[in-house]
Amino acid sequence: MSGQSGEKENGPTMSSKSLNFKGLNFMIADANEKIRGIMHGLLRGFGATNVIDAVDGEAALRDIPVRNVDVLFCDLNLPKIDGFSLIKQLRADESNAARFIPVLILTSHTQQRNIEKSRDSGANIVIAKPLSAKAVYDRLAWITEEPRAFVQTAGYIGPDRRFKTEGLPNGVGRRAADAAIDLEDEPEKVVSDDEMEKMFEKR
Amino acid sequence: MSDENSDGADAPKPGAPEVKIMHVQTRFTTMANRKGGMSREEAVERAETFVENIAEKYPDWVDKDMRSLVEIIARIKAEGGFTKETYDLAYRGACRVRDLGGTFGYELTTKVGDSLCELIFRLAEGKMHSQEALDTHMNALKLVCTPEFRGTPAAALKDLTDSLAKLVNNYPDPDAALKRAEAEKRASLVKPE
Repeated sequence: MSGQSGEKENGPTMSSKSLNFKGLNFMIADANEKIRGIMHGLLRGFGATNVIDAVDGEAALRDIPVRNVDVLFCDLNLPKIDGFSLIKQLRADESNAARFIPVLILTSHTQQRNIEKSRDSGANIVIAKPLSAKAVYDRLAWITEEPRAFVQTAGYIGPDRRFKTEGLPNGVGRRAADAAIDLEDEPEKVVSDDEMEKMFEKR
Repeated sequence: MSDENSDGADAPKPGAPEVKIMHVQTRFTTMANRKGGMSREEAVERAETFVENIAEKYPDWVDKDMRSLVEIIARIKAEGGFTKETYDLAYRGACRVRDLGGTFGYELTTKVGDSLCELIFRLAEGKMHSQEALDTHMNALKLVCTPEFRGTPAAALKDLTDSLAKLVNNYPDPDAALKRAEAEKRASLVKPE
């Protein structure tokens, strides 16, 4: 396994504590059965016992409250209802007890516009495909360690996107030494995992 | 997870736009932090073992995905450019090949696939077409998906990947303005030490 996607040995997403995923209900909403299969394997490897599939956005939206889903992994390009709309509808439904669940987007579409749109739709974090065990685990750990307040305004419902300047715990965060990201100068054409994390991190 | 678990909502100040802030303890956070969990090291190792065990399926999977991609690129050629549908199909198809390669540790496939994704994105978003650039990428991708080249490190074929990158850079990045704006926004928020 390459671990090319966001594999980091140090940094804000590296967790040292043990996590217990037993009994939690994970949903993978992705039309690609290979991705769903790989995600099943990764989550079972992490100790998850309940992993549910959804092949499109409509099925996901319908099944989330019924199956008491605790965490949603979803692709952006879902058939019927796309990932952005799925998250927006989930967050906006005040009758849905699952509206606050963590939502992690799995996507190959890591262009800047998609990452911003993901953040603004109410996702907690984006994980770039290809998937790696470390990237998926560390982002789940990050959510358990850095819970964010939930914000509801006329135009947005989801995890707090506002900036704070004190930085993340363990001395890692948004300070001058943390190297501001200059996307213009980046040779990569898409947003890297690190950059995505910074766009989503607790602010 | 529900509103009942919220430890309170902050009321908006008079005259301020209505903003409701809720501090929610989700079932996920509560349960994941229970005792009896697994260390990161063990969890990652177990998950990586799973991926290694299904690696034998990779050749069939990638062959199937490549066949679909070849068909879509042929359709784009026949139609003289992208339509909304073929853009979506080609981009998804290229991403699938790239992502499978990445997940199973084939970095050359990942790199060439990524270059193709970017090319398709730039061409289609910019309402442009270059069959030559697409064909060059497809030939490279077919090559690096063969059993002979599959496991080759990307560095070993740097000339190939550099040439592909150069080809992609002939077309402007449609996200350049967005990237600049985000960079400026972030730079303005950096806290002095």
